[in-house]
Amino acid sequence: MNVGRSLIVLALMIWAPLATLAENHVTLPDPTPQQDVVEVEQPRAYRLRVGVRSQARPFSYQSETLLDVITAATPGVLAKQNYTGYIARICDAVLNEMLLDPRNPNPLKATDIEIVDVDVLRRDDPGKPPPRFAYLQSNDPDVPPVIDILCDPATITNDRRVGLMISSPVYLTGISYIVRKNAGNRRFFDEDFLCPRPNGDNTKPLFLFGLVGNTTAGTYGVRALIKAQEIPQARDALIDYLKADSEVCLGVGADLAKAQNVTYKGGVRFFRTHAEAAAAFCNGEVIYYIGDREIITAHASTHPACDFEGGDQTYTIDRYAIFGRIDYDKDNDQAKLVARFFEVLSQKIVGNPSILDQAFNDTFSPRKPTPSLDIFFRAVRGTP
Amino acid sequence: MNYFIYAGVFFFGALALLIEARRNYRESLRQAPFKTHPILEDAQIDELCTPTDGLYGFLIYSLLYLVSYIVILSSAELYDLIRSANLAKLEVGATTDWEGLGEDAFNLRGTEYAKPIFVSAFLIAVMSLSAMQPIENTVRSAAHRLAGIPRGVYRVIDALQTKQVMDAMETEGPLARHFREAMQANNAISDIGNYEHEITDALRVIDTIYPVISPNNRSRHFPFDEVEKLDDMSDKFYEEMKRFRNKIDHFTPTTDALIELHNDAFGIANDTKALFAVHYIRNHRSVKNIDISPRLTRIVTSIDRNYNPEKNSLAAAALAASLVSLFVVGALYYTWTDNALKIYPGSAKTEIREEWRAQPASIHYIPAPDIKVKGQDKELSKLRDVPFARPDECIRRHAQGRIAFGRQSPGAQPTDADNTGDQITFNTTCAEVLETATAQYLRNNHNEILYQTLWEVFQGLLVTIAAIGMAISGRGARMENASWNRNWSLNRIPFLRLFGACILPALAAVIAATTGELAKLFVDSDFNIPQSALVRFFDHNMTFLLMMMPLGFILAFGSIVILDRHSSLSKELTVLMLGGLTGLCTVGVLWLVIFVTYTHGVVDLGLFFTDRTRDLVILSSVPVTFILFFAAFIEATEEPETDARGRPVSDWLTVRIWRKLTGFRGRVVPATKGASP
Repeated sequence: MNVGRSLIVLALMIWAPLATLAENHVTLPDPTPQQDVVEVEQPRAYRLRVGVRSQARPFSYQSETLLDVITAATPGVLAKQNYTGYIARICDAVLNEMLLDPRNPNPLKATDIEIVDVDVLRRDDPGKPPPRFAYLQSNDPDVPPVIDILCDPATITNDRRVGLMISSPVYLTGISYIVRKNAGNRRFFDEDFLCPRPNGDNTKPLFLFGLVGNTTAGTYGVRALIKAQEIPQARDALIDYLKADSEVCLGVGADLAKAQNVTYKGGVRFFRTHAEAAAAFCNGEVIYYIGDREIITAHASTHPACDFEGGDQTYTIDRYAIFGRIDYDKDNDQAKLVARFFEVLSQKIVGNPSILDQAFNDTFSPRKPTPSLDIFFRAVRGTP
Repeated sequence: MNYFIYAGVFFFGALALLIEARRNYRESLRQAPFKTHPILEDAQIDELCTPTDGLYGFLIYSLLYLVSYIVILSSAELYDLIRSANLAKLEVGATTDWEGLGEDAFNLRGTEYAKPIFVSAFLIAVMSLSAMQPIENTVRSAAHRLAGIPRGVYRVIDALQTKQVMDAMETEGPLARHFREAMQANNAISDIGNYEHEITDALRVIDTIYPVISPNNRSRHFPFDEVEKLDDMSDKFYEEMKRFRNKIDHFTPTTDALIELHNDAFGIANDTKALFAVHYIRNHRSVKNIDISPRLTRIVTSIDRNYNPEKNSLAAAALAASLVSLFVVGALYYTWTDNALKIYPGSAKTEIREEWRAQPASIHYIPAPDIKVKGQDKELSKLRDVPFARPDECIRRHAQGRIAFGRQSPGAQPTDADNTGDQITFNTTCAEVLETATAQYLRNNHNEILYQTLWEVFQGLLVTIAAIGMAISGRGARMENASWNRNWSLNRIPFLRLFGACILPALAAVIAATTGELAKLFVDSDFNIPQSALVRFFDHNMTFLLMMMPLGFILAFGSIVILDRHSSLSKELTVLMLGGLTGLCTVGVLWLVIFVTYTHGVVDLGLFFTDRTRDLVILSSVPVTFILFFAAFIEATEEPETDARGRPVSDWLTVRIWRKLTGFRGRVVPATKGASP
């Protein structure tokens, strides 16, 4: 009995200083700044950031009414914020399926998804707004990119493949142009349009071409128009625009452009969004509006009494895809979600009925796909 | 679509047509076209022409086939292009052609390759239909005529039967004298009665013409007819003449013998004319070395004068209508531009700026307080580097009605601000500058106005000549085939036949209008028409072009009626009634064209005409003046009528009425008309 008591007392005597020592160790001040630790360990507010466009009709845009949004499909996170359009519908359907996924041990909730309007970001940028693909990248390794997935009519190009995940192509279109009715007559082009000109009441500059900057229309779209010998009267202006050392513009038109803080090069005016470009086109500030076929015609059509012609032929072949960024090293949860997004997307594309058909019918019905687009759909989904 | 394959298919389509054309053409050469004349009844066309002529005729014939092929194929391709463009408006997605997955670019399954073959087969099938026979005949006749193959024989024979030619025939040649002497010797004059005159007339024809086509003389008068068959015919005719002379020598005054002699005389006279006609045509429509025979010279002159008055009238009317229309259209454009500048001087912006620059320096420093650049808190008067602020302000003030110039002077309504010292100077200078600059603009744009004027006249001529030319051609071909009767009366108009003859001219008008408009588009786009421009062109102009069809129809109808009926009407009635009615209908159709195709509001510059009236006058200027001149020239080239005593009778209705009322030169008797087309 005494031996037992002696052992207990001994144990207590050994444990007590050790316990004290241990307690003292925990309370020692950490050499790492407390603030940084908090920032690293703080959980993200959103687990997935999806970039959409509010002004890229009819592929990704924010509708003012629910008429364009509601379909037979269950509205997802994008539809609930009135984002709709062909690409937006595809993304919405995929996100919906991810929300309901029972196999995910850490299920994704609607509140985990942040909808980022890229057009709003670009519009509100006080300086020169970056290309929208820049929002998928981050220059600072410690700062995550603004978006993980870009759901907009983005053309697949070689440059855009680098460092990004790309879905299979989901749409086939091309660069086209529209012109105000009766604006393309001969006498019109006798005048020099290599630079902006004063327009009508001399309050706004008049440009030969208008396009949304940082899109494919700006470079190889214009080249395709020249190659197809379209708008022969304006060929010089287009070539001048493509030249690196385009002539510096002077005169009333240039002064007006400067006064209005207009971005342009030669006779080509750049816009931040298609809504701005279409408004300028319909107000007679640009004569030719260049861009992806469906986008330019859809935006111009939203303006009442904006009579235009053209836009019924494409001069390039552009494949749209959904782009994403996966970084397994830095954010495993984000990477898994983005990978899961593309996994579900590929399943829904080849499924029957295909998400491509559903989105097409919901967006474009009663219009039909062109023969080229029809063949493209058959090839992508693998069924007639 | 692979363009090389398409070119290959196009070539094969054309080759198939050429083979068919060759077959048709060879068949046509084996026809005996002059069955009504015994001397020519066995003569096939290929026996009456040299191999070179035959080949030349085939080239022209096949060219017409190929032109039809190209026109129809182009129409089909254009239709496809426009249809695709219109369908694309209802579709979304890429429209650019791209080969499908695994598709072989060289397979011929593509429907676009089928069109040339289909068009070729269609033409071959259609041309073999009996309903298309008149068209085929027209085409073949045109080829024969262009190649010099003797299809104009009937025309020459007709010319030989006119009163003028008959009057020029020998009064009594050797054969006629021989006949008279033979009859007198047999005491048969009283037995043959009225037959004597008819037989004598027939013999006069033979006496006059036979010397130049006799085997011994014909090579002297027709040195260019290198056709073997003509030698045979000439010999055969010589034998017939000998037989006929024998019959006269051994004539016995019985009824049967008399009838036989009468028939023979007529048959040989007809053969004489037919043989002469073939020789004449083969000899490039001429008879050589006839100076010593004044009668023959008169006859040939008469035939020459009767040759194609309608085509000569067409050419003369084209020239006259061009001159009148150039004046009318040019004056209208100039007046319109001049007046438009008075109202919208902004068109002369460049000239206004240049003129302003030439003003004294003090004018440049007059403040223009109205002008402000949006977003820029500075008056333009202070922006010395903005070069055109003041001239542009001048234009703006004019648009606001504060400044007027030229004929508008009383209309200026200056504001209070305009009445300050500087601004009065500014406004006065502005009015002067506007006056000078707009005048300069007009001078600078003379070429532009002239170009537009020339173009309008050219386009009008193209449509009018296509329609009327095709109508004349078709009528001429049918007359040569003896399938056109021009002796119809105005109270029993053969509408069906006339309508049938107007269908092709109506189509020709559409094709001519389309060709002309496309040519202008081609020139205006620096000889490089993009596909979209082509689609837009047809989208905008299809209605206008199709409405050229009724215009062509009316012009063709009017011209055929004028050609058929002018000989029975006075000059005034032909020009005013037939020509005038056609002109009125033309104006009506063109008014309808403007009514249907002009969708913009009426532009009124305060002149006595609006833009619609202006365009109606411009569009109708050529066709209306053309048809009036055409009628006038047809009447002018008509042979004069003669009365019972052989004196010329005026074809002017007013002169006839005057003579009837006054009794001057006595009674005007119904007269035989001279040769007419």
